[in-house]
Amino acid sequence: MKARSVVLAVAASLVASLALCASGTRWLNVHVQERAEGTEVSLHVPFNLVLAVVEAVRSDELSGGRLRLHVEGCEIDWPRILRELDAAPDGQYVTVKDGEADVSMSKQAGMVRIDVDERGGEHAKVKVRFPESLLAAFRVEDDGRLDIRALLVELESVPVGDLITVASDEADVRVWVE
Amino acid sequence: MRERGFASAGTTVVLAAIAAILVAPLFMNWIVVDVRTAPPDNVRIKLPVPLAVVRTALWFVPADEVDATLPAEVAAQRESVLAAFRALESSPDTVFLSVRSREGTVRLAKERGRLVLDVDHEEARVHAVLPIEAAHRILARWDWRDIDPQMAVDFLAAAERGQLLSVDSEEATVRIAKW
Repeated sequence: MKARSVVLAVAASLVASLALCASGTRWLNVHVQERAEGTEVSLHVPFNLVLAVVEAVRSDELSGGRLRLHVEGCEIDWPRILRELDAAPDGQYVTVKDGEADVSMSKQAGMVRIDVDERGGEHAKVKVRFPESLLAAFRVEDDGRLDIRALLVELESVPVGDLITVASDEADVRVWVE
Repeated sequence: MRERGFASAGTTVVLAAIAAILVAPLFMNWIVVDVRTAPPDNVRIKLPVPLAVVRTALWFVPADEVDATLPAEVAAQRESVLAAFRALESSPDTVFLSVRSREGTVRLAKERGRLVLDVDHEEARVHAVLPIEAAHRILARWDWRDIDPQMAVDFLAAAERGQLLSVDSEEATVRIAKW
């Protein structure tokens, strides 16, 4: 159960951080299609603009390019997890199947893959794909803040394609780089 | 004869001066502020002002009446804001953001070097245009410490002619345009 929480926390953090990330001349795209109200949001911004905005924001949650992570219910040793994941060979690391959701996390051909298939709730199907090299830039400070800026720099080398897709009863979300 | 010649020359100069005064406004940049409020007030204010007059008038306003020093946090944002403008300048024309919902739509785009915001909400419609290059140039030379009203005039002078801002709501309509 703790492993599942860890994976979900990693996935949630990535959703929050990658949505803000960008670099170089590439473009960050976010598309959200909400079902109940029919609200549709499309974001299409160059990475360097996202970086400038992220650096400019000064709030409790995001300041100086560092995002405060909210993880409740478990203490997570982020640096250790990321170090271990970075050093680990290709393979399936986490597979959790219970009444609530199926969660799997694997590393394959230089790509980290996280899949969450929620059985109850909103029946969310989450897919996160990012290159292994991004792990080295995934830094969480002692005060529990994620260094978005470091991710932005690393994202320069991310291949074009989907980073995150979420399909649920409530909404569909797609985050991709082009 | 000499008197007649002198009179003719004088008349010509006076007529030329009058013509210049009459024609000059045609070549000036005008800012037109148009405000209309809904009933029962029904206030209508339409104020066309040559930009040069605004600039000149500001010279006569006592400095302590318009000067204001901003907190240091504002200056701390300088590089980030300028970086954002550089990114906007180098971006091709595109739609950055679009939101469609039952309540309305929001669209933020770059069009012909301008940042264009359109909001069509059930409570108000807003259309705003920001010339990116000019805004960047003006912000880059600003000290980010003291508010300078001439900066607003510089910004208006740099803007293209046309509507810069329009707001339509149940209470009022506001138009700011440059002619």
